[in-house]
Amino acid sequence: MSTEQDSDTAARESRRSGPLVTVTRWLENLGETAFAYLLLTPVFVILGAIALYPLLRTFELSMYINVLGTGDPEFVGLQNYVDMFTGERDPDFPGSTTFLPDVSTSSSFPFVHVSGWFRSALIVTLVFTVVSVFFETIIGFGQALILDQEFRGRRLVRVAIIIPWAVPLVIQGMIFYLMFHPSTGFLTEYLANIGILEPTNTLNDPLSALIIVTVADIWKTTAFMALLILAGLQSVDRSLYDVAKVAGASRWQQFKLITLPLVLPAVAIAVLFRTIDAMRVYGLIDIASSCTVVPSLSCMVVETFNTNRGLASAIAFVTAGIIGILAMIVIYRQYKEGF
Amino acid sequence: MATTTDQSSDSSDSDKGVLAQWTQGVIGDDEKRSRLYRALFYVACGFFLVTTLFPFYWLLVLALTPNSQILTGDWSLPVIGLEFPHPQGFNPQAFVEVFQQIPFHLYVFNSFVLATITTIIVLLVASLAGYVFGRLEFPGKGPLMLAVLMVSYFPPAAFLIPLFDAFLGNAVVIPFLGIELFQPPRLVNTPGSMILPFSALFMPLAIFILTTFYAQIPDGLEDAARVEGTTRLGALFRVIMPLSAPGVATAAVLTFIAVYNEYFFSSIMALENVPENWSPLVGGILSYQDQYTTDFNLMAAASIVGVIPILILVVVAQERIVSGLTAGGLKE
Amino acid sequence: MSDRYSRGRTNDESSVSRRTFVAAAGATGATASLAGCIYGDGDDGDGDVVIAMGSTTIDDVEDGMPDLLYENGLDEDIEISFSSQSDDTGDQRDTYSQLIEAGESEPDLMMCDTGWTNVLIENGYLANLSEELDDETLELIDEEYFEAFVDTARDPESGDLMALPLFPDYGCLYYNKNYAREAGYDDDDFEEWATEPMSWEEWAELTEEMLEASDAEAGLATQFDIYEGTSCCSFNEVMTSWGGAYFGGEENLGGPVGDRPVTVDEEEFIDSLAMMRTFVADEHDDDTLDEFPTGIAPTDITSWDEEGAREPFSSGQTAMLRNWPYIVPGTLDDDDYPFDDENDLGAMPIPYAVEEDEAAQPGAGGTTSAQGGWHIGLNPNSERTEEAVQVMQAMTEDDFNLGMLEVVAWLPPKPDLFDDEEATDPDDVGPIGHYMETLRVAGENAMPRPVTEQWPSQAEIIAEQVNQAVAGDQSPEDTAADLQDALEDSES
Repeated sequence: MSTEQDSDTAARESRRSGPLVTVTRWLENLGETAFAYLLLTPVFVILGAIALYPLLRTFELSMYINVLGTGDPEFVGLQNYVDMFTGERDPDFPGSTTFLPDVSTSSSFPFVHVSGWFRSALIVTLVFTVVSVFFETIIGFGQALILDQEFRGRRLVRVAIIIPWAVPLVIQGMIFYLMFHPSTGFLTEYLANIGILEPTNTLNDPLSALIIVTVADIWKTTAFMALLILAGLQSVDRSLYDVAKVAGASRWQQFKLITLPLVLPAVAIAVLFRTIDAMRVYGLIDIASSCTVVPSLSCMVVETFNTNRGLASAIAFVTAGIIGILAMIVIYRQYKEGF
Repeated sequence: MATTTDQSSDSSDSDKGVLAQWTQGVIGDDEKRSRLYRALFYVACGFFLVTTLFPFYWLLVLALTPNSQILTGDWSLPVIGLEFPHPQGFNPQAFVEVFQQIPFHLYVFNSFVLATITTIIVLLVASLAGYVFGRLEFPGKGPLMLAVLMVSYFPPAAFLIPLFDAFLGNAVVIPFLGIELFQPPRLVNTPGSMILPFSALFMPLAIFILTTFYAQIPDGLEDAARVEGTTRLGALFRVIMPLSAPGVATAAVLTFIAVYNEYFFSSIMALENVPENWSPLVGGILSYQDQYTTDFNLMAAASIVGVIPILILVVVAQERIVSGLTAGGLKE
Repeated sequence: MSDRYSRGRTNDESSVSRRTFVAAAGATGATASLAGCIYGDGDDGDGDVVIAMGSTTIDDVEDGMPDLLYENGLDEDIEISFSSQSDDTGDQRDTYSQLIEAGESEPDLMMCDTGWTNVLIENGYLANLSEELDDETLELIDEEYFEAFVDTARDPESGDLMALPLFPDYGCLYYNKNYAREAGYDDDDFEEWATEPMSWEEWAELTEEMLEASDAEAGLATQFDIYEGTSCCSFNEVMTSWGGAYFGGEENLGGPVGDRPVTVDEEEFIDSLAMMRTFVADEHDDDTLDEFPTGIAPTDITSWDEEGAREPFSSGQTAMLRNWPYIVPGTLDDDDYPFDDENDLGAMPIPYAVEEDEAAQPGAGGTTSAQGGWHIGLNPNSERTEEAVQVMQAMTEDDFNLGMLEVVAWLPPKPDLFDDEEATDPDDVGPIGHYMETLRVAGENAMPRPVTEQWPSQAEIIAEQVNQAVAGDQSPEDTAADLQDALEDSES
């Protein structure tokens, strides 16, 4: 006992001098703001060098045409952006006019004054995002609720639920591609009989392909939501439930009044980031179907990347802008209504 | 309560249908309700297991079926004739072949190292940021958080070429002014060229997760620790992090898996798709394709080989991190 | 809780302790240096000429090619090493574009697909070989090589040679001889078919007969998925054989973009599309052509690429296959397939609908095979230009061409070599030796694709429209009209 105390005191005393202590003391005495910014330095450094610098260069690039190859790049200011919206750039995007073909010629359709490809990609991306995030959140919540319970075989269920997330994108795409491709697949027939998918040329049919891509995404990304929501559930103090039970609250009331409010921050983060990621979908489309059949905003960036980099850069910024608006909406709604 | 149930079950026999009777019984009787919940629980469990595992089962079948039979696509079951995936021409040699065609284990090793280093960096840096955003008040907090979030709005392609240029050793130029600053070291084909972008790209999510969880720790606990002589940083690592164990573990797991499976940046930064250039797991998987043919069975087998160890590792690690971190925490 | 903290830390308390962290950092540092040991220093050695190719191609040629180069005049002091690239042709194009754009000096030489060599040319990513190679070599290429093939390596405006033609590839029609025998044909017919193209009507009749007489489940396997292979090759062949063209014929293949006409909304184009639709359709309707039979191609062709189409043919499900020569060794060597040797597998030139002199578009008509193949391009940033030029010169020798034919079944770029004894002896060059006659006919009637900077996205547009028409989602006339508009837009 006494030796322990001695060594403690000795340790404490040795800590009272020396350069490390000086630094520590200085840290402790920093005002809150200064301390905050100090701790944020690594974030600034990394994000500044790796994220901000490239973005600035890319933005600069977006104001030129003829960026690649021979001929000098020509500075055109915001022309690329203007062209995107006026439809000058439509021809650079294959297939974009065929999604929802009837809609594109209808004069009463709200986006009719915006160019064809933009409208197609925007609609596809938005539909994909809304549908997938909706299902992923609900199913993920259910999975998290289950994983939060103690039961035999819990570890197995946890492994099973995380498997989709652990599978790389390429393989996720391949799994669904092979499932529905006429040469290799088996599922198309059953679903076509119910009328959900096209029976032939399935992966090349815009609506069928979109459905398949969405399901593929839901399969994989529900795990992401489940993991985050589970963390939120696990952070809830168990004793609260005990108190509630004693007070006679039903399970549903417990859920509504204890679980839901406390887990909401985790759910909010999950939904926000999932929405942002879903709006950037590209790889999954490219592997399971093709960008020509299911155009998304990121598809547009990649397709012009190696032929017209200035335009690709402009599209990237416009995409970010759209996502930003959507993110603001999500954040605002969460802020206002608590979800 | 009990009397009411009795009465209702007595009177309902003759007047109401079976469904109404059962519903009333459930509403009234606790035991019936908990049985219902149990049943629902198992149904939901079963549903989740089937839906998440079925595509994985399909992947397993793909790995065990020779490629030519995959391409023929005749999955009719022997007796019934219905189409359902089953491993035709059972071919476990695929798992050996995976290593014969390319040194696949080296690709896995690469991914593992890249993921580990990135996760450590991200956890550290994001913890600092999470502490700051979650527990401190200071001017500019909102806009800074938004700025961090905005990094994730951009398609990765927006970052690609300037970084590629810089990592090749070409001079870094001030945008819009065209002034050359300095020449960075040539990082392509080294882990640095991948770890740096990964850290930046996966930082926002980690920051926001940790912010959320760190913010939930009551001030009182931190104050108590400070009173006892712990420094502010010490409080972060010894009090807050352990108490937010589930959040920290989740941030770690999500980052790790994301980097482990990453392909886009690595495919560019590794000039050749070979293990020496730190080409990751997915690069290895994609090398089972040549100009015309794709060996789907090998790709499936390789992905299983790559995924299973990580899965086990992640589940075990998550549980241990959570239990380890919470040993001193709230949940006793 | 305050109790614990008051006594300061004890080692019993788990948390992300400093020790754990240091241990973890140390472990990763150790693994990183371990990795360094395993991988060693990647080292080409200075003075190596680096040739970039798809990784599978490298596997095929790395043993044989360097020796052949030394035997054909390459200085033994010059070492060759290979830079492994993705096997996907589009990825290769993107990688080379990015590397050269960023000023990289390696690789010195790159294998370039005829399908995108012009894209690199137009971007200035290839060195001008008309200035680097000597006159003798340039003359040899002019005179002895397949003309259409060499044209895909030239700058469309100046006519300068911008890449060294390496080996061509030609599409043709393969068929199951046993099914044909069951339909009543014999070896004499096969011999005739090998070099005499037949009309689409004759061919359709033949296929119908084969379907009725044998177990074949379907007639023609070909590629009509939404990808470049449809626009550049499988549909291009059909369209050109009807006398059609995308941009007004042979002279306009390389551009100039914007000045050339778009000739898609024309009768011959619509007819070629209708014919394909007829083959796939179950029964005749407004969109089909009455003179052709229906149901001789499976609906799956709208989802097939090269391998997708080859597998059903090689396993005996379809009677006919339109594909590239690569299928020959694979189909004959595999024991599971009902093809043992050249008595089972036949080849014929692609059928035609309209004779060359009656074609609507200049240069079109008659049997047509898609021009494929690869060139060797020189990196303008290369620091070893002289050595690289020597390598290229060695590649123009007859012995080199024949040697590569033997090693990896690369067709010689010179038509005369097709008749060469060595080239036609299967013992020397493998099963491909039996089909050299057909391939020579194909080579002399090859139609390249209209590669310009706009081509990659135009190819997608064309493939999508053609795919819809063949699948029956849109009538051929509407497809042609839509495509005409879309291509005109993309040309402006």
